[in-house]
Amino acid sequence: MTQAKRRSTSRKPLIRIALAFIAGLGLLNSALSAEDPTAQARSARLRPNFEGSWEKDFGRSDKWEVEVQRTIDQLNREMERSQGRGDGGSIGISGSRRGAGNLISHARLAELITRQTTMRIVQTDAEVRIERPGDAALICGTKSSEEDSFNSPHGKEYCGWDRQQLVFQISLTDGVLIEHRFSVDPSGESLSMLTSVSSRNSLPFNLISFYNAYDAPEDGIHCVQTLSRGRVCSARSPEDTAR
Amino acid sequence: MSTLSNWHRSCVCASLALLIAACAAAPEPAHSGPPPVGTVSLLTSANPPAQAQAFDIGVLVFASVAGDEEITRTGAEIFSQIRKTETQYLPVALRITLAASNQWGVVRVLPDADPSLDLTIEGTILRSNGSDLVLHIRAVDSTGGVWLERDYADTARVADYPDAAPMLLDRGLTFGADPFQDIYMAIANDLLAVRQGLTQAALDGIHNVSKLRYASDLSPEAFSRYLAEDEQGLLSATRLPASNDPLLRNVADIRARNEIFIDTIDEYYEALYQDLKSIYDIWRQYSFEQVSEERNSLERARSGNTNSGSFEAISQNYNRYKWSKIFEQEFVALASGFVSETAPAVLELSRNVNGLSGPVEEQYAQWRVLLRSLFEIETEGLNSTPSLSTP
Repeated sequence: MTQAKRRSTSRKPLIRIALAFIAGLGLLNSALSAEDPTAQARSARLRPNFEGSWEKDFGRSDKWEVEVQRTIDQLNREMERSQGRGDGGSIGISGSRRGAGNLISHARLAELITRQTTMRIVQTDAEVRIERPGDAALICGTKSSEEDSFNSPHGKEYCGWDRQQLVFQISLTDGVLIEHRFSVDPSGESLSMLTSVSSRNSLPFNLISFYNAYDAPEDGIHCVQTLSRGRVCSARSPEDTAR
Repeated sequence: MSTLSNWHRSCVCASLALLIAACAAAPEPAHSGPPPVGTVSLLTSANPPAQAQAFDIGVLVFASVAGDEEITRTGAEIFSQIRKTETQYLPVALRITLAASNQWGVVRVLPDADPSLDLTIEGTILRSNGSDLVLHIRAVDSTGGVWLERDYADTARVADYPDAAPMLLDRGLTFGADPFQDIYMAIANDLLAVRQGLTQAALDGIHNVSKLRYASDLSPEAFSRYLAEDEQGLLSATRLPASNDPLLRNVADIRARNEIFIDTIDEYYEALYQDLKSIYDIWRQYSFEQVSEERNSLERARSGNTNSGSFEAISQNYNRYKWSKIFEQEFVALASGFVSETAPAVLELSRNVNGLSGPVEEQYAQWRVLLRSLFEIETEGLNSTPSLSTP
């Protein structure tokens, strides 16, 4: 657990307000530039490049059990402080206990949805597509600052850009909110994904996973989805591979 | 001043954020519409209709209205291309049903209204997937009389689709009956009921107005005075040109050529229908499975009684969300496969014919202009005021 992350947890309300403000500014900016395709194309070009194959760096990534313990310790300290001050009384304590109860569920969910050891990201001028084995792809356009990227009776997904970070927010029907925040370092060799799971009246549980770029072997096969014949694959020509 | 301006900006941003949050929490609207037509039997005739009842029908290429759900869904652009193909495909299904009833004259699919027709049917696709089809149908005769103006709905059942997985079906194998055949039969039967309610004079009136409307379209100065419009906008024939009128003979010649052309146009739509049928049937079965899966998944979510807030409950919820998204993404990939596989047939419909160019709609408009010019050339030197007779 890094010092920076500890600081980020304790300043969460402030950061949330700042993020809402930044998101609002981004929205205002996108509304102003909605009529200007040149501005959209320019902003698309300025996006960081996430393209490539990525494998998890277990050494640098958070371990969920350690994070749960750290968060519980923090909760205990807060409870002790509030008891010592005599403010909040039993309401504060029970609220914290309830938060701790959900915390375990949230932590396990965060672990479940970040289990993938590899990711493949395809980025074009129009969109970023993050393919994760065993889960649905996360897809976001590069042009607008915020968009409704998926909507179903089981939940909604929004995605957008917060400066150089690509953010996906998934709100499930039971009130659970999942956020994935991707950023890539300037060298393009390392990528981080901050996954946050929260719900009403509970503390968010954060888990950071780091990924390193690696050269995935070319499969040499080009596949096209057809309706009548299913997925039709053919060997790539040397020109395609070179391209 | 700067602080105040920042404060205002913060308020605007906060309001926008709240608005977004409110929109995210808004419930999905329930689908409403007309009741399904149910099981319908087509009223057929063993013998061709009598001359007076043999109305020539034009089924125009349908329009479509995309619901919010279709505009905002993933892959909306691909689905709008599919809907565009359906606007050309579904009218042929209705045309086939009308022709199969043996109750009418010639039934054709056309890109635009043609003044030579006795009855014109316009349709709008309000909803179309493998499970539901909702159409708005308006049928108007040549006098302007409205025969039908209503919404029709039909719902497919599991039994309407074959048991085999669509992917395994041979491309050449067609499914047979359309899962929404009932909707076309209901429309055909309703049209027949209207025609059966007309008197002989009304039937003759429609035929006469059709002929005069066509003649008037070619030469308004010579023929428009034979038509009168009442206060409701309905046309009637005030009198008829003499049967030996040379201008009328020219009109009949041009009309015969026009019929050959609109028959050819109709054949293009028929060819498109035949080319697409097998692939469209597969597409509809996938769509049916997608809609069914979505409904079943919702049902399972409602009936789930896992302890709320527990890991089991929230992971189940996440898995439902995840699978609905995976399914939707696969469905978008299939939709993309449908568009790329049907593209050659759609292009074929718009290829150049007889020196005319552009999409079939433009060719049709060009042809109408050509016929008018031809009529003018052929009638040069003829008396532009034909002799009269009473109807």
